Amino acid sequence: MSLVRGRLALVLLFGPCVAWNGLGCGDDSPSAAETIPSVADQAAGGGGAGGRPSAPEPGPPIVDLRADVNRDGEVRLDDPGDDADEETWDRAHGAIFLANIDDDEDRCSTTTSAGKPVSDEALADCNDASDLVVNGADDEDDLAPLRIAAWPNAPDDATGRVTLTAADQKRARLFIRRNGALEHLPSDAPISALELRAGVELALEGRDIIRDVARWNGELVLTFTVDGASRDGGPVTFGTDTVRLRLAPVISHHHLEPTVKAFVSNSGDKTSKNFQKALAVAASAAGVPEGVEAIETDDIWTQDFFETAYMSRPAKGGPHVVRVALRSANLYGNTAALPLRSAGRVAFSAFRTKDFAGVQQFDPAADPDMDSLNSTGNFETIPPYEHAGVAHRLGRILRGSVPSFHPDRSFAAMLDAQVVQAPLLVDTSWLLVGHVDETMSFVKTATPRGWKLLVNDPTLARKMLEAARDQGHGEAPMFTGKHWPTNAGSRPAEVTIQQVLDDVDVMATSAAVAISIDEQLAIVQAEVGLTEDEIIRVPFLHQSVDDLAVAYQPGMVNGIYLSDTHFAAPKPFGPVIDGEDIFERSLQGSLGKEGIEVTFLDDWSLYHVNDGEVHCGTNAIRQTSGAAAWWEAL
Amino acid sequence: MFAAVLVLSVLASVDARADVGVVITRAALGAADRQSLEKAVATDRAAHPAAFRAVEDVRASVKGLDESKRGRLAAVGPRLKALGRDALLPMLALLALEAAREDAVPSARRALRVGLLEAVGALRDPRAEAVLVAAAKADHADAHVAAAAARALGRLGSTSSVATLKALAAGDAGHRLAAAAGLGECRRAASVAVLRALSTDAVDDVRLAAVRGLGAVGNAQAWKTSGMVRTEEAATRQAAAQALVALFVAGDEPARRLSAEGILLVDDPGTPALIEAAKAGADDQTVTALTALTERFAKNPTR
Repeated sequence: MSLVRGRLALVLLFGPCVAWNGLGCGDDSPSAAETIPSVADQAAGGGGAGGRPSAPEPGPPIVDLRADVNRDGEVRLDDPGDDADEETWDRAHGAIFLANIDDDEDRCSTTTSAGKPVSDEALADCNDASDLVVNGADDEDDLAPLRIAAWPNAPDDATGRVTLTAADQKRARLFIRRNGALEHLPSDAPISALELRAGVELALEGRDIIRDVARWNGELVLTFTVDGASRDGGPVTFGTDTVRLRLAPVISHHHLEPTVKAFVSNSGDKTSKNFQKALAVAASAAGVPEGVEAIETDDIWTQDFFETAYMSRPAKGGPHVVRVALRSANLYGNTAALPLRSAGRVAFSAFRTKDFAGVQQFDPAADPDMDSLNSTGNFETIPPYEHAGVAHRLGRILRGSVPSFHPDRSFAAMLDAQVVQAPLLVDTSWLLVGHVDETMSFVKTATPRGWKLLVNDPTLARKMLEAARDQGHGEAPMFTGKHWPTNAGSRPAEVTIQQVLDDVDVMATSAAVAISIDEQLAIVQAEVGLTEDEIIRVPFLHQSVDDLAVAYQPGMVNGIYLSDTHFAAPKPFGPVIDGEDIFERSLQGSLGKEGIEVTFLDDWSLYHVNDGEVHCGTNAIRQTSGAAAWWEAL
Repeated sequence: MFAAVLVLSVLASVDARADVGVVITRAALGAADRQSLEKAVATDRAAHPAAFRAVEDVRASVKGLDESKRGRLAAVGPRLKALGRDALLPMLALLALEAAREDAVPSARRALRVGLLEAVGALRDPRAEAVLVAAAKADHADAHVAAAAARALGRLGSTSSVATLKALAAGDAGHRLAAAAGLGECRRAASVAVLRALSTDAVDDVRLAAVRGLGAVGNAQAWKTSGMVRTEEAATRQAAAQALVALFVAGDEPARRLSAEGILLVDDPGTPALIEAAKAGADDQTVTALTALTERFAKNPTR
């Protein structure tokens, strides 16, 4: 609260001889509490000797705007923690507000009155911040509370205003409680003396997430000013107070957060339904609380068209969390009004609701040849770690991107702008599809770090097959019972170990891939400080399409981590020797040591033959472990 | 009169399509080769009609595969490879004798052409040589098709493959780029010299493709597969390793990174000595990089 201007105002009003209580000099001056009539008295016309109501003596001005600066979930006028250094913001203190882009009353429509889909732009533009009202009681929870302390002696001509800069007015919106309800308070709109005397309740909503930190870093300042007229009629400012707030970032999930619900596309055919059933069984075994939900779409790559995340602000009783579905920036060029991958509309049509927001960010001029990288299968999150004295408490986003082959730059800028999970980039340009989930994943372990990296190792796969061949099993078949589907039927995919080892192109490609993965690993190891015993190698070979690599065997690393103790991997259909699939045995052994059970799901016909695997075809919302104190990650 | 013109133009377009295979025109093959292929196809169609139906089946699925593709190109090659050697002549017929039956979007056309070339190349069957030579020599508007044709020819590893690719390497930038890709698959000692020359090309893309090609031509795991004629293995890998170490020393990024990758891929036993020798006379920064390369070679992820 600014006291200097308040005192100046007192001098102007009352002359130089004024004590801090504003009532004039002298020891026998009555106290403010004794002489200043209450607001009620003023309203009743009483308040002073002589019968005729008189304006109360103003007393020292109280120009005090408060927010939840100490992040305990409340705004308290009697707590200096909500006042001290409120004009600054850092990881230790400062109020937080949310982008109010969920839809608490499900009022946003995804179709026009004629039943046609609304444009992608219009779809994303509708949310609780797109109007000037607070959309129900649930919406109030999404707003950051603020309070103006009562100034019981505010003179009749006192007018308060809370202002935002012109730029910040586009980023946030204020509300004021009047007659029991929150109504929009435009920047610089007057707050009456009556209101100032009683104290005022305000609320702030963010109108969008941070999209580009070069344009806005998420912080804004509210300036509260009380003006009035001096005795001689000239204007006077009783005081000014400022509060700085920061918008909560969007935080992506890592695998140490157990799955709350898994998702899979239902394309309606038998293969899809069989996979859904198998996934549901695995999810049940893993104890996924809300099981598996099918998304009705022909787009089978559920991992690719949205990524789940969340944002939070402190609230009484625990953080208030709003989940987020980030729509992929895939440009499918359907029409000018619907340029994006249509399945991604689920970010709004299925997910946007109470406390669940949808977000999209894309550049319509992005290079279509790089569009595969915009699929959110190319968006993973390294779990939390500390290395070289720097703690990444929420982990880091991991994506495939190099200067010559990169995802949508505006989407990347949006991720960068969240700050708390600084993206780490590796080269996936040598892959046909180009997604990080093709070569890496993460599992929770009882180690000092708390997790290990799963990484594809084609050389291990080759050596396993060579060992089996050397033991006399060269004729053992792989991919038994599996087929390459075509329009009129299908062709058997079965090959023997020897045939695989004789396949020059598979051997050549797998060797090249081993080197490329090693380079990815070097980057992750250098950044994270991973040691060799924190890496679990997952064997499968690669083949070449147009001189780019894609999994030749179902890529077992490309599974869904359902809970701390359950990983659902693609069934490898490897050679069965001594009654066991040697590749299944390998993964079960590696993950079994960490207390993780592996369920193998047959994804051959649905995903593998189409250049993807289990992870590519599934998605999840997870527990929000970082909600409580994300600011510590700054 | 108008009707006659119309009929003639329709006939002309039909004739034009009849002269065009999916990848090359009939005229791209010499008359003798074309007649020989037509005869072989006709015989094979009568003997193995199922193989022709199978290839046609895959061809018919390309549109759908392309529309639902997940990566940069629909993976048609693996589906054709799975058909085995019986599919060779049907695929050659498509490549050189039979026009595309329907208009396809560019990405689907590319997927089919690249897929056919990859699958034919993977068979490493000398019966494909004439078509693959013609495909490699042809002017392709699509660089992906040009590279796929060159790679397919390179996989044959024949004297004719080497000669054709060497001639391509003397052509325009597009041909030189394709040649670099093809020579990388042509695991013969003679390929190394041509690649070495291309690794100093004025065009960056050609230069870098040649560096990649040097790694590919010496790929130790490729050489170790049974079925590879290994008489030229030692000479090829040694020459490739020498070229790559020299390029590592002389190159800046990304050539240095590609050279390092190639050195690991070739995995020639003489590499540590080559690296040590390269340190002599090198500046401090290069010596540091070479030392790191030695460490990386010692932990080669391909072994």
